[in-house]
Amino acid sequence: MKALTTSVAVAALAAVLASATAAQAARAYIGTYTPNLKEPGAYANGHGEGIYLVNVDDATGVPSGLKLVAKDFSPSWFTLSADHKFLYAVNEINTYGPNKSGSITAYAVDAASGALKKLNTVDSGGAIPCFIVPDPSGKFVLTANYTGGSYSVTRLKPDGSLGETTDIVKPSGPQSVYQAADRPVGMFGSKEPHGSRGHMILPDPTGQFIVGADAGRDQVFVWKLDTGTGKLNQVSVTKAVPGSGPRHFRFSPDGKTLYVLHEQNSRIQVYGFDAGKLTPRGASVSTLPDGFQGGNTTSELLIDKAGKHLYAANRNHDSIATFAIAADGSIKKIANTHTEGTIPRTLTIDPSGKVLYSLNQGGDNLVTFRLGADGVPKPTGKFLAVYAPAAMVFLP
Amino acid sequence: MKKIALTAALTLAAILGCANAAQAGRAYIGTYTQEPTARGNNHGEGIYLVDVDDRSGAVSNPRLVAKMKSPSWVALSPDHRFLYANAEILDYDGRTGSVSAFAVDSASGNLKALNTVSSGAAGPAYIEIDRSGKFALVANYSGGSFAVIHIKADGSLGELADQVKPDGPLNPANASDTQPGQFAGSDHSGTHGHMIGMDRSGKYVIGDDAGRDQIFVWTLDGSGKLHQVSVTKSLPGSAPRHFVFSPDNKTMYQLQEQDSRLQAYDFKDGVLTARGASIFTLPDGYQGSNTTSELLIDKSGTRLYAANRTQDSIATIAAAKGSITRIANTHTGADNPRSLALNPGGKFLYSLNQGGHNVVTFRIGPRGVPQPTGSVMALGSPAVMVFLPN
Repeated sequence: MKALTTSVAVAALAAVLASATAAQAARAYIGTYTPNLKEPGAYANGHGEGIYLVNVDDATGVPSGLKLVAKDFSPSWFTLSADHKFLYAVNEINTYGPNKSGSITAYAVDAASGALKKLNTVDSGGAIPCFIVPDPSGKFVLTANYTGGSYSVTRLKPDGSLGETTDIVKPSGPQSVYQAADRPVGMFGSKEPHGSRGHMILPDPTGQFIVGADAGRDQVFVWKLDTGTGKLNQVSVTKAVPGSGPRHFRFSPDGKTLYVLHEQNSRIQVYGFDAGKLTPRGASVSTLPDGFQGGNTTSELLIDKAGKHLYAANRNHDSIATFAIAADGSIKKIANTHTEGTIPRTLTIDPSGKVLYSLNQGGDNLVTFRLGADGVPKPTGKFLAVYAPAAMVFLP
Repeated sequence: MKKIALTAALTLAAILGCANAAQAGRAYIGTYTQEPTARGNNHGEGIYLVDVDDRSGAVSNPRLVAKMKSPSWVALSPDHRFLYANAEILDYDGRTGSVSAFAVDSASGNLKALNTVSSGAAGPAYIEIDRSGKFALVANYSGGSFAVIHIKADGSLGELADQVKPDGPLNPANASDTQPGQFAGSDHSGTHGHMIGMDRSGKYVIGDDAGRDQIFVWTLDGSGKLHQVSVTKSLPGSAPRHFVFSPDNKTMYQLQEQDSRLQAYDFKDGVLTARGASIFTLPDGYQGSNTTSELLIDKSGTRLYAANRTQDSIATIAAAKGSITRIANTHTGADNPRSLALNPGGKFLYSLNQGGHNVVTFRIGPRGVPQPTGSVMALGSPAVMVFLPN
């Protein structure tokens, strides 16, 4: 009898401890592409259903227990507010409102359960929004609209919901070319007309500047945000190689170096960043193996916390390129690692900095890699099925 | 004067270099082209001839030798004098695909168009020439049929000799044993002829129906009629796509597109008997989408190579006494491998990456596993590669 009582008690205690441990495990949100019923052939299209929550094992970094926490239209990018109380997601669509615009949606985060409660949805200021980030003051969210070719500023209300659009920057001017001169041999260019394509918008590490990548007119904008009016005031604009499609960029931890990833020629350009101005440093570097020929477009660029490595995702070659960053900020490619699923839309590094995830939009999976001492991702053999994954953000 | 001698020597070296190149291997590569009825984002223009370096395996110098719509499969006649290609289209005569015959100029590798006929049904995906060289066997994917077409004495294509159009109930689009997260359903809206070919004895013709999940075995008579010997049901939804025979002809290996599995069958008197369980072509624990495409067997019959599309790898499978074990997965180096090819010497393997628009060269390394050579050749939407004998 005693034995039974003890074993039951131990088992119960173990169960409690196990669930406590599980509750303390890391958690992350994953955004996905959902079916585009109007244009099934369009790129912004997938079999996801919205935003999912996963548990992430602290020891191994392996995600599991995928559950849908917000049914929404193609939340292909999202961000948490600085206090982690709110989540802001784009809806990468072109069907919102009479202007056939995109939209952005605000959610309240339930810290205990991770559940999301929808607050409201507003026009994103252009079709196919694909990037969103809070501004450093916490008063606004900044959105890049791809097809709409614009960058918008949306005021946040005290309850975390989205307020009015305070500014829309919509570049104009002559269209760029379809193909970059320095693309890989065999790279077929986009046939789309090249208006502006807002692909990313992000504050610099000092919080003084806002940077926007225009993958359509091949330029990088730097603005200052007036945190009273919510207007973007241009500081500089830097032309990239015509046709190169600057898509994503990252700053060195000290904010003095900017790395810009170009989608169409699969190259990274290093820039010095000073007083809101970009100065190219050295020649651009390919994200592809030496001698690669064929089609490829890049997607995501990450930098590790220490500023020692850059990671770029290749779509079609389906690899993660690892670059070592030298003391002078210059970069050298040291490896390409197979993503094990096609069309990596984005990469994410976990808060510990030891695990890297490839979100393979075409592969319908999330693949876990360990970052070795050399900074190179090593496959763990762990796969999680997720339909058309596009973005992943850890909940602290 | 000395300088002139040196120049002469260099010229001679250049000529010899050329001569060497001319003696190197050659292969034809069929591609998907951009036309209204083609699926996907295609950039090929027809059939290309490439040089293949015998030592490094590298392919180079692609030149268009036949401009045509989506030659997604090509086959040489047994005497290598003629080449036949299916155009994977839906609108020949308004409703079918087509097959074209070419005369091969063995010296230059040039192709001279002879004629084009209907493939019998829409979207032909595979063509093979029977041993006698008198019939072209064609699998029509969209139109759901297996066709036999007469070949005339001059190598040109003649009348349709026979066409088998399976009918019956439809199967589910997903197999029950697929990996978690599979969203890449194979079309199961009807019969989809995906491959037609002969066994090693030449006695039987085998047809894969990836739509109704069945494998036909026929004999072919002198008039070009197919006579059914057996039909084997594979797992509903699994989409049997490509197959190979062991060198002794006693085993047939069947690659299933939708569930990414390989099934071994005993083959005797035209009848297939499943042997053991099917195995995955994917890495252990793989979750997500994938469809398989091509299956090859090496000369010794001890290694099979299967292409995974989406996971983008070549699975190496060891075959011993009919039992099969996956031993490696090698990154194809680009998206969507449509097919694989081994060179005649068996030392090099090529991945034809339809989505990556390139042909990637691998060397067959230790344990029979392909190792990347670093050699990659750009080509729009490659689909099939056939070597011209030296």
